Amino acid sequence: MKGYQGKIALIDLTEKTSREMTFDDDFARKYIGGSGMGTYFLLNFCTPKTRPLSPSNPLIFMTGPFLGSGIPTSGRHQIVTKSPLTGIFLESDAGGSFGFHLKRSGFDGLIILGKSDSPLVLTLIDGKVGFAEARDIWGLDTMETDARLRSLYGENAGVSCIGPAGEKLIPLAGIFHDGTDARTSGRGGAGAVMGSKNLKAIVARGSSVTPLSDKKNLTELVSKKNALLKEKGAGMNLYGTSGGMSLCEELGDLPIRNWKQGSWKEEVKAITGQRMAETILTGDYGCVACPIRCGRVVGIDGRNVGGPEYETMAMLGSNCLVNDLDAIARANELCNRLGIDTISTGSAVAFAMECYEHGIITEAQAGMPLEWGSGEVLNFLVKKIGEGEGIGELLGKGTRTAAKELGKGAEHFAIHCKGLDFPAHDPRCYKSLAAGYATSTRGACHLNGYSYPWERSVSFPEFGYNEKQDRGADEGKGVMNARFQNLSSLLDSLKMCKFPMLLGVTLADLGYWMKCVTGWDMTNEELETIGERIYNMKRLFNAGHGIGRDQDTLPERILNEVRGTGGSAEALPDLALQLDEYYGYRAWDEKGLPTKEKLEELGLGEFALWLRA
Amino acid sequence: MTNEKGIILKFSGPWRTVSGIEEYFLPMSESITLKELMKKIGSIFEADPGPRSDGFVCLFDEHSGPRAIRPDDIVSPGSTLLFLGTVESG
Ligand code: SF4
Repeated sequence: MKGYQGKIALIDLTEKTSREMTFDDDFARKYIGGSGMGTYFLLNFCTPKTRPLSPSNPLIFMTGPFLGSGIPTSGRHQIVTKSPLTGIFLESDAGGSFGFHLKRSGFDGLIILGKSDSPLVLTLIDGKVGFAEARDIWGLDTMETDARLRSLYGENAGVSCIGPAGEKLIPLAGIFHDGTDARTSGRGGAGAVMGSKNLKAIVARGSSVTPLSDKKNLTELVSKKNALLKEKGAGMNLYGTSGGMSLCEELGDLPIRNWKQGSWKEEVKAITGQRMAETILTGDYGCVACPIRCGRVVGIDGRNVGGPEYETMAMLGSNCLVNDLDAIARANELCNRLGIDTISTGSAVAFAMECYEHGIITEAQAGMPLEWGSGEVLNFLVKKIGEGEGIGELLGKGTRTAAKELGKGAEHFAIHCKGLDFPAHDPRCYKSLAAGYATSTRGACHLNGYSYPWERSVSFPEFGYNEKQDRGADEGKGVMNARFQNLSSLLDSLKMCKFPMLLGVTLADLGYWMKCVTGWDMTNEELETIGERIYNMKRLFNAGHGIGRDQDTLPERILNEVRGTGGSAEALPDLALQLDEYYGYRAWDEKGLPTKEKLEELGLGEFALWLRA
Repeated sequence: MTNEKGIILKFSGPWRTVSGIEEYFLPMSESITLKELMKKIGSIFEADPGPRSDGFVCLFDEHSGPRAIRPDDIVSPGSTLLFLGTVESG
């Protein structure tokens, strides 16, 4: 078998046993890896009744066929589980190097079940699974944990771990990789699932190289594409993703004051990637096999640590009216060390500030006045959330639950879909994000469909988008969403970053690369169908949890309140129109569910039971 | 190909719209500051991309990658200048 190890480790933490599951070419061609295989195993090992923090919730780590091949940006892995934050499907794509080490250890993926009776480190070394005591590292932050494990297992090991927030089962806890560089599976609470299993960390190391079908040709293709990506991605390399902050403000995309304010023109200049390059930036960082290197390294009190990306800068910064770069960089480091998602944390801080403004949270409750724009408040609340203390205990449950517990109209300030807080792009600016967030399988997510770049600056002729699309139009956005959701599912299964698709990588390139890796001839149509199949599987999982058209909605503030000023001053999305178009294109029924015919067509008949769950 | 000295300009995003082309060879035998160079480019294309926040300029070398430059920095013949498009805010 080319491009794969052909093996998945099935691990039972309760019994501290493991066994190997093998798979063949047919299975691999149907589900590819990453998101696809992960969802397949989730549908098989989880039920609608499984509680997210129970031992029976599977925690799945998957690589993909591109990992280890040198294909640009292919050093990524996928984590799939049921979310303790939303109660539905969760997947999280992370960069860094852990996926590379996991595959080199001899496995394409891991399915982790059960719960250890004491803190544990899972080791995967040259094809062997081991269980090591973790009492002495329980309580350490993610960077300390990474350093300690590397000193034990070697610098050439990959480490995936949780921080204190994951240990305390805080629903905003993520899983962290690459130590100080902090590559993160941040969203949805996968860190709490890991903590619920008493699993502090996973260490992977090995030298098992997967054979490639046509290495010579692939090397040539890759070196040409690397040169192109280096050039086209120069801006991302120089300024990171937060190099886009000013443009986002200008277009009316940037979240400001908990999504209420339209513009912030002067203030934003203090927290851009360009400003970071002139001040605290000490280096750049790239995931394995990446010629772009968009990651930031910044200096804080003499420490070189991962710097804020766009999402972090916007959610901890403009969304809380904080334009103090140093305070944001410190809050980012704190999130990474404690092991919490910077996006949902930023959303929770802005939510708390707005509740305080309206008297729903008092100073006595909070521990200090929660004034907008204060870097001190930002860092105070981040610490409280990550440690699960004081007001942080409430905010760490996510804004949906916090709002319910607070009452008094706090729901209006909780900006989420299905319990997952909005990332930092506004559906009032890019209309495709309306159906995008509403139907995204893990709750509000900009990467689930990643449609907005095609409304901003780039074309995608293979989908018939020969020029950038009108960001203010609702028509056509349902179809656009479905197609880019399928593409994202494909990329998340091959395990490749989405950025190269904006910089000149095509669907046909993916097909050529797949041929060189596996030997399979795959047309664009087959690749798109695979993406569609995988997307339908995720929707099926959610259908089993009562999700349908009624839940595919957006917060009141986004649906009915205009930003008022700035580049999207008067725009509101027509969600109903987009959803009709979206379900129609997907051939789903009026409740927004896949039909039996659709499932049969996609070869998913075996999962039809989830529709009746 | 000639042995004429000059600077290669590569345009994306708003710069591409203004210039109407992707690549342009600007003959030049002497070094020049970026500020002066921008004036020349403005007069060649009879336009200015405007104060767009995404319109950055950097030097580029295929081995060492991109390097940011400021208006007073010197650009030498033989250089490649990238006029950047949108910086993706992923
Ligand atoms: S572009 Fe950035 S996020 Fe994507 S693989 Fe490269 S370094 Fe990682």
